[in-house]
Amino acid sequence: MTLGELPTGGLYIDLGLGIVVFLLLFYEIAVQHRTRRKIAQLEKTIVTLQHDQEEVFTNLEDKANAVTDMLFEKTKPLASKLNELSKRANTILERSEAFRQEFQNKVGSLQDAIDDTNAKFNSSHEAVRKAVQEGKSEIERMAKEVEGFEKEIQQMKNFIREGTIDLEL
Amino acid sequence: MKESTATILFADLMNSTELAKNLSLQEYDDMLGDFQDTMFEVVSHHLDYFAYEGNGIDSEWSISGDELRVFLYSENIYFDIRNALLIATKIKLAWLSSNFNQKVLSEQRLVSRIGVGINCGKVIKDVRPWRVKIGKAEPNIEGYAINLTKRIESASREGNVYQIMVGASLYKRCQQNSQINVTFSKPKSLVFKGLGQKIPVYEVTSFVNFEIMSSMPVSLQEGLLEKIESTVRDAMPEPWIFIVLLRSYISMSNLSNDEDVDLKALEIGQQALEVVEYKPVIYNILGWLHTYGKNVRNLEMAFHYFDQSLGLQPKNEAALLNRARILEEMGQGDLARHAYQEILFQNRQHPVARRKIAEYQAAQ
Repeated sequence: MTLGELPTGGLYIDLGLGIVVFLLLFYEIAVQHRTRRKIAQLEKTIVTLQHDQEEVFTNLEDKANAVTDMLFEKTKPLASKLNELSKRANTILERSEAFRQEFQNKVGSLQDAIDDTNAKFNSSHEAVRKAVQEGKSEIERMAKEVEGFEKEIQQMKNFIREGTIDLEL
Repeated sequence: MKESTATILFADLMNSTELAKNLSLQEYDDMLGDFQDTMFEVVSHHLDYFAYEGNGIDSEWSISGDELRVFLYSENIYFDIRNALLIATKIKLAWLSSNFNQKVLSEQRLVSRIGVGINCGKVIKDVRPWRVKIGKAEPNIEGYAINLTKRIESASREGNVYQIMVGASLYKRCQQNSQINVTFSKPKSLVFKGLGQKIPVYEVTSFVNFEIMSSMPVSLQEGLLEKIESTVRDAMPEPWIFIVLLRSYISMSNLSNDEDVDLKALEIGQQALEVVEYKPVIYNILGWLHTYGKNVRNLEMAFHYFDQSLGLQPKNEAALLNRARILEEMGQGDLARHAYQEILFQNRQHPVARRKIAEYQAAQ
């Protein structure tokens, strides 16, 4: 069937649909073309970035090596000094230990005597403390007694005074 | 059987029969209950306060109806007499301030009073078989002195100062002992039923003792002074209350610096001069206040009052002594010496007068 043989009503609808399909195909082709072009651009950008990154790493490595070298150079004399100091400290410690030993030997007996005296002092101190405490309690008790006695005397004085007044009225 | 010399005290409500007539049975019972509670509180506290052992050892006492009986036999008769006088005054004071009498006072009626009889004499303590049979094994106290004291007590209605009557035995002992400041009226010879002879009875006209108030039970001391003060404002105050009140003011003045006490005492003292028949003690109190009162000291006034006292009773030792002291303080050496000598004329053993005369002699 040719175009001319197409029924008139259906012919226009089919023609419209065919145009739409065609336009859609054309649009898809255009989009694919544009996408491909963008992917190519992205690939280029990624390659550039990879290249730049490699450069940065290289630079960083170089700088780190430089810093390490510099630090090593700088700390090298310090390390030798530290070694020297450590040696000296050890020597001093050894000497101190020897001295301590010697001192320990010499003052050992004295320490014993001091410990003994200290123990005696503590015991005496405790006894004295107890005695003082007891004395304090005794003094407090006596103070109370004196206070009570004082009150009694005052009462007696009042009693005598009042009794005397009775006889003078 | 044990014989001892006892000081015997009888006390009962005056005119209780008349009272019973005018009160309902319940009111009369309430009054008796109040009376008995008051007597119990005062006497039990007093004997304990003055270290009586009780239980028939040195004292015993009982209350029956409207009558109180107290027997004191501590073997120190003067101690017992002094305590009997104290108990007598204290029960009168406590009864006057009792709930019953405070109600009577508020209704402006005549208060119920207590009559007291005191005497000394021999008594016998013995266990009676019949009493043992009824379960009373404790010894009973008997003797003529008890009967006599009961009759002396019945004469208290005729009293008009303290209504505390004493027998000749107690009177004589008080005259022999200057340590009890008590004075008596002239004797009244009364014939008592069953005794068949005239018996001299004396009424207490003044009894000065600082322990009347201070030895009162604590429960009764609260508000006591105020109650006594209110009774002297009464139209017919009883004379003995003035002496008790004035003596209390002197104690208060002696122990504090309260100016009001001295002024109040002087005011009550002036009022007492109009009411109290036996005035020397009131003059002496006024003289004392002007001599030793911290805020009302006036030696000339004091001298005047002691002189008034001597005008009524020339041998009043207290007034003589105070007058001598005032003269000494005023710089009247010769007159003071003469006054001290006057005391020695009466009482050669007077310690203050003896010391003062010795000092004057040494100074010459």
